[in-house]
Amino acid sequence: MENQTLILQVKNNFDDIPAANEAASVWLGDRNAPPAIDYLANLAIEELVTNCIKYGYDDAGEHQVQITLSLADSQMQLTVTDDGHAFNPLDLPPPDTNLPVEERPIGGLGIHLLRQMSDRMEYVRIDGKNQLTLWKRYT
Amino acid sequence: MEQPGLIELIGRIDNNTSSSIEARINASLDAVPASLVLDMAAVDFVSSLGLRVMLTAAKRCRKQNAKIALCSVSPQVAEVFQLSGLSSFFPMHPDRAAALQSVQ
Repeated sequence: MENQTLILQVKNNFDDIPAANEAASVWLGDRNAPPAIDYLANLAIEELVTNCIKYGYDDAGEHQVQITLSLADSQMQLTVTDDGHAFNPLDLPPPDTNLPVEERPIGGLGIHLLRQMSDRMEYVRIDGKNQLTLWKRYT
Repeated sequence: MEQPGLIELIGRIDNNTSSSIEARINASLDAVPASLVLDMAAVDFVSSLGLRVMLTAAKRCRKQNAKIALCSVSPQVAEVFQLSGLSSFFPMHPDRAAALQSVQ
C-alpha cells in the first residue's frame, strides 16, 4: 500500500475536537483500518488536544494544533504538533493502577492509556513546537 | 425487593458527554441508593474523562455501599477499563439480565 496521510488543523477549542475525531474516523474507515486503530486515533486526538488546550498555552489567544495521521505498511502513525510551551508528557510518572478505589486519584489516565495502547511513543521539541508521535501496527 | 438502578449509555463517553452522564449516574444513585447497572452495549468510545466519571461513580458506590456492575462492554472499551485498572471496580457481565441479577 502506498503512503497515505491526512492532516487536520484544530483550534485550541474543545468544540473543535469532535469534528477532528469524526474526520479521522471517516478517513480510517475508508481505508479499512480495524476498530482498534480507529479507537486509538480517537483517543489520541481527544487526549492530546485536550491536554494542549488545558495546559499548553501561557496566553489566551488562538492557537492551531496540527494532527497528522498516516497509514503505511499496516502501521498507523499519528503526530500532534502544537506551539505551546515545551512539555514532554512522556516524562509523567505512570499512575498506580493497583490502588483501591478510595485511594485512586481522579485523572492522569490519558497519557497512560495512549502509552499502553501504542507500540511506541516519541516526543521532540522542534522549531519551537511540541511534537508527539505514536505508532501502532495492525493486521 | 427494590428494582436495581439501570442506565443505558449510548455513543461516546468523552469531553462532550461526561457531565450529563455523571448527572444521570448521580440521579440514579439518589433514587436507587443500593445498586446500579450500566448497560454499555451502545457505547463505542470512552476517553480518560469518561473513565474519570466512572471512577467517581465507583467511589460514590463504595461510600454508600452500593453494588455496581457493567454489561455488554465492547472489547475496545473493556481494554481501556483494563489498562486503567478500573476493571477491578466494575464487574462486567455479558448481558443485562446477568448484571441486574448480580447487584440484587
